[in-house]
Amino acid sequence: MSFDMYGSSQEPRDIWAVAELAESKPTQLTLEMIGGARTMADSLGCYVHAVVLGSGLGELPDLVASGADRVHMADDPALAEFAVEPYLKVLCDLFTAQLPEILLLGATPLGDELAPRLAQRFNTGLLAHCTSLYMDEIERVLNGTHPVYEGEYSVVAACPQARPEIATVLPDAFGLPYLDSYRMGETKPVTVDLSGVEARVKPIGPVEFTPLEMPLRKARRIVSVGRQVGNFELVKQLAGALDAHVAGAREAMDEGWITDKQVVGAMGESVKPDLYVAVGIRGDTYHAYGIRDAKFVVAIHPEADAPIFKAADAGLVGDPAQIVPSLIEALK
Amino acid sequence: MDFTFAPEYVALRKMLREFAEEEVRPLAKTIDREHRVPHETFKKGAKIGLLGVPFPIEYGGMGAGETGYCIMMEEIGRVCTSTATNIGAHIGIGAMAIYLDGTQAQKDKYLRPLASGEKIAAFALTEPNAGSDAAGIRTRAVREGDSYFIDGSKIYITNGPIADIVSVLAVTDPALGARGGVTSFIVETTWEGFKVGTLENKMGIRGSSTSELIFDNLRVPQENILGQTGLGFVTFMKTLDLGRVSLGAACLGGAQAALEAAMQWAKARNQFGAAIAAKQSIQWMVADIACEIEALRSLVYRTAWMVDSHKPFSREAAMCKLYGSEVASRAINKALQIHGALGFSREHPIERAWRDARIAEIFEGTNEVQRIVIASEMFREIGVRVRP
Amino acid sequence: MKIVVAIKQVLDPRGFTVNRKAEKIFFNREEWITNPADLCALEAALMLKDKLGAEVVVLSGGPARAGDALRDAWARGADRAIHLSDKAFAGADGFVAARILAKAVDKLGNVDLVLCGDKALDTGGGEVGPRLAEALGWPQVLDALDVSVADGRARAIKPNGKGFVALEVGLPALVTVAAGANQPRYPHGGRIMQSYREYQLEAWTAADLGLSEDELEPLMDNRGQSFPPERQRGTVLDSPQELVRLLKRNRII
Repeated sequence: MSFDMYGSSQEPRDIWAVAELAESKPTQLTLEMIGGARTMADSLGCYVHAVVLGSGLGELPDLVASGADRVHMADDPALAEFAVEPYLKVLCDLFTAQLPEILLLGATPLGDELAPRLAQRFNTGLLAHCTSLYMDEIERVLNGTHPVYEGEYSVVAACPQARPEIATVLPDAFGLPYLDSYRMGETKPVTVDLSGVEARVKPIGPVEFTPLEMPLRKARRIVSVGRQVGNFELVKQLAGALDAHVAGAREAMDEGWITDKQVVGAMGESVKPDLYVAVGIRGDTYHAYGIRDAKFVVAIHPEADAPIFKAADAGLVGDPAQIVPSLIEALK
Repeated sequence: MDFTFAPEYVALRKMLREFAEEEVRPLAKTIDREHRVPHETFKKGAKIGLLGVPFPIEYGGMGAGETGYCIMMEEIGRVCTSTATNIGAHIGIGAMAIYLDGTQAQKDKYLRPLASGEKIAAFALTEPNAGSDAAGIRTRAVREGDSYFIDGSKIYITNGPIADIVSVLAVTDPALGARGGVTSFIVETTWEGFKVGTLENKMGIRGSSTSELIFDNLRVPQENILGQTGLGFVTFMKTLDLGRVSLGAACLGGAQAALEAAMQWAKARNQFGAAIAAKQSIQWMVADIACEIEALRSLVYRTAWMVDSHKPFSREAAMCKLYGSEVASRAINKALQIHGALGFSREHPIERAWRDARIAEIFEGTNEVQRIVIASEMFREIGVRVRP
Repeated sequence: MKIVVAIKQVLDPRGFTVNRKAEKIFFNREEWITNPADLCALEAALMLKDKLGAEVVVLSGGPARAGDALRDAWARGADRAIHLSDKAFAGADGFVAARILAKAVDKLGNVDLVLCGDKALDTGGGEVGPRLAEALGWPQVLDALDVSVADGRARAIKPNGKGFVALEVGLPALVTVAAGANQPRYPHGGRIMQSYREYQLEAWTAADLGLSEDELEPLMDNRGQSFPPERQRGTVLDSPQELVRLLKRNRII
């Protein structure tokens, strides 16, 4: 099964990537995708195309510099903001004419909305949210790895027959490519025909909304404090920066920083967050019991021999009062 | 012989497990510490039929029979003994008396709001001078025209302070004694002459409220006689009999929770270079507890099946209560030992479980009474009469 | 108003553990649950039913055990629960699933709103919702935390950076609901009992939906599994910047 709905006798070819812009420049993920496409294209012996949709598009030399042979610019006022119907129309028209073999989009809000619809429109498969992609050169089939069960393990899949092979790509699936300003590439305008096509979803604007509160035992991220925290206020800021719950070891309750409902450990709550940052907690057995199911533990403590470091996936030895502000900065 | 639960019971248990974990467990420590009843749990539970599990759906219950009721008590008992006690007193004896011996009019009027959780029930039998010797009750109900006037007091009544409807046993004819001289009444706690007395300050199940009930010339209309006049003892004994099965189920839940906690701790706790789970002394404790729990589980659910199949179950029900309370005590005691000093901390759930478990060997008929019931049933088969 | 909710079962993650070193999955107990985001979609539908008196129809593919998920949905308050059941549906990928669901929605007729979970635990891609919207030719709103309906239009609230935005779309439309968007209600115990003892599930086959075997051929191939690297406990880093890089690389932030 290939582009059967188009009844074309032409074979699908080339690798296409849908570029996204931030502040008028291609996003890092876009450049990674094009770089990855370049590597695959070189081994397959085909071209790399980038498509950009927007309004008042300026020069985008990085697209060619990162590996695109041809950049297709769909420039139209109706494309100024992302909306499914106009973007889908432009891309479908383009791909029906051009017949990509492989189509890449970022695993972004735009990619998540468009890629499945494109896949259904073209009667083809989809490798969604790939952490890595590689081209099986013998079979000439793209294999994509995507995490399941919130990252417990990953599944590798492929779409052996149907074309195009579509994949949405996560950051870091491909490395950041080298931007070669000497690379040559063509820029072509795309004819945009949006007659009769209207965005059907209307953005109303920002709203005040209180999402469902998550109890500590279900929190995805926790910043937890112990006696050596130094400055509890800093920890609250760190929790804010990480969008995390605040908790603590039992001593933190004695110091009056947390309530008994926020105590983590054998005598308190057992938690299983994706991220647990223990600030100033020495980490005895009783506390360790409470975080036995935490997925990634970060420890910050002044004493290098604190037991918490043995349990931590990543540790920083030093004064939390110094490290935490630095960490908050690095997170910005 | 199919020992699997029917799919509706599997689905029911799944829902109750989630409810217990999400709504009941988070409050367990709080209600024990604050010595209060979890009204919020009753409210949430009422929405799903929690306060009427065995009663017909038409009355707002779940229509799940004794089996469903035991499943609920096991799941709730697994996370909070106090909550299980509150619900057990409400369903298992308070409302159950009305379900077993009430007239259609009484069921419409009282069972409906009880099963749907709008109102709370209690069961008033015990008096200062009449515990195991229930026939020694003195609360008096004197007939006057088409009413009875009740005078006296009851003690150690679970849900006493919060009940809307109480099943009360009182003496109507002192000359006849237990056979023909005692009558059950349905009493509304808003009636004049009803008073809640002293609140008990208990070792355990502190999230359950237990108190004295005082009747001071309390007028009860004769249509509120439950069962036959003079045969109130039959109603009450019938009800207590049945209540034993679900109490065994709650004990099963408590024992199970203790085992799970002990195993998790044994896995995590390292001493002498290994997890203590690798030590035989711990392994054998776990094996012993697991064995008893398995036996109790079979006993409880087989008895529940006998109830639902309308087979006689008195002897097995007493066994559920006797064995259940002792298994739970042994399991929790061993589990506390496995936790070491941590288990002795008031911050740890096993400490609360240890305090909560003790009452099970005493209330709802002491284990000595249960032994008498069992021995009585056993010896009757060979023609020997057993007396307390 | 008629709302369709598409649900599916996934393995309960509490029933298996992943041994990264051995690169193996160990099943302690095999239990199936309704995908959490799908339960939130159902809850959103039931809230609309409470408010507007809508009819809620739940659809699910899958083998016989999907009946448990459908009965559970009915017990929570759905009006109808239909099992899309056929040997030919086995092994359906996203493409085929969307095709089957679209046919089912068409067969029901007069559907105003389709709600489904934003993503499934066992696939993680979030593709079936938008695929279904495309197969139906309907507009879509993804990852909603809140859904309301008024005057033939649906209004959804979704996260946007650190804040939230509202979007409006004319019906019929498809909305995917995020896991954690709401607290799914517990089914009444009596309804659970009735769902097995009294309620009859409906079942539609490939023939009922007018789908031939060719139309049900999956396009995707499973090529195996891959496992995350073993945890490097005891790692000490030099700087907060290094920590942030590590967290990003591990896709934690």
